[in-house]
Amino acid sequence: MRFQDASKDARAVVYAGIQADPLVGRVAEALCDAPASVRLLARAVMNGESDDETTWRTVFPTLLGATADPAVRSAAEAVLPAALEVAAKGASARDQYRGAIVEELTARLLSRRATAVRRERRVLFDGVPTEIHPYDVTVEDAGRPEVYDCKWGARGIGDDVLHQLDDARRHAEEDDVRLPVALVVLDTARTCAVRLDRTYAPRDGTAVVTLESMGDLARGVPAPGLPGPRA
Amino acid sequence: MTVPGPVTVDDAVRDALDAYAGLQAVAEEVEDEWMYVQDLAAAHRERLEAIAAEDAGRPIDLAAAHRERLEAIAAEDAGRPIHAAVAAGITAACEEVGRITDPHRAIDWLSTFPSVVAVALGREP
Repeated sequence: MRFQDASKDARAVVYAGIQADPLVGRVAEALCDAPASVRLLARAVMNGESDDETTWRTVFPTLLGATADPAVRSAAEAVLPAALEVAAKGASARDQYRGAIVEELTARLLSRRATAVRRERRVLFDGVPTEIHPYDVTVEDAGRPEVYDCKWGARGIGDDVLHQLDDARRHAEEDDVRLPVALVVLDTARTCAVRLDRTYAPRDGTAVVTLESMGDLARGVPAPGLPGPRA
Repeated sequence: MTVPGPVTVDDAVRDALDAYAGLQAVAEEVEDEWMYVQDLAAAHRERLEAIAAEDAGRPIDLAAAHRERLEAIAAEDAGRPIHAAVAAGITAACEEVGRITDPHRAIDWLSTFPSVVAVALGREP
């Protein structure tokens, strides 16, 4: 088993420009240590409705109001202006920014416990046709590989991505390599469970990391399965 | 002083469920995702109804996570009912989703809105 850079087509070149935008890094950094409630704030704002800061301060009194816990409020204050900048983008650009932010957030969290965190990489196995789509984020530390696909919302979870992750895990196993595979989704566990409930694609060996459990990426390899809602 | 908006948790959830039904109707226009929309709405409606049942009749300030701070603020500003910010937050969220006309965006909000309401009521997303 080995990793390889994905080939750069026109889409990838455009997307690389978005990935490199400092705004992506700012949002991701602000979300790294944020509690789940603040990640939800980011999701709500970047869903792209009101671009009025006052509206969001009204909608989230327990995060941004005078009564909010100071640490939570500080995290929310860091996220709000950057999320509003993303929300102000046109619909098509906003979709790409949102995807890039989930990837960047995933990569930053993984970088806290791994040294070789890479982006847009293929996983190659001898005698197995190469997958068309690269994996969004990979950990390539010697002897401890991991692969991640990232989604803005549960709606992005489809049979194709579940098959691709499971295929990689199984092929690695055939090469006697343990390859943890995971889907990182900036959506709630409840919503991901609904989405996964009607899929017949293999997923027993795939971890699903949600808005509630993202912080755990920095602490260890996520276990297969979907953690339940935390309240 | 009269505060506009819901006063109890079940009032707030009732308002949220009304707004949610409207959001669901918009989202159902995406034919390929009709079943997902039904499943999603059922799962989140069930959670909001459970919150309402647990805290039925309870003023929404008492359901908030930061009750002590709310009470401290209220003590400083005695004329202002302490649930005002939460009531205004839920009303604003309902108005926000009421303006959505794009069915794909409505699907995004079907998963987000119930958690926004839950956070306003002091719960986890």
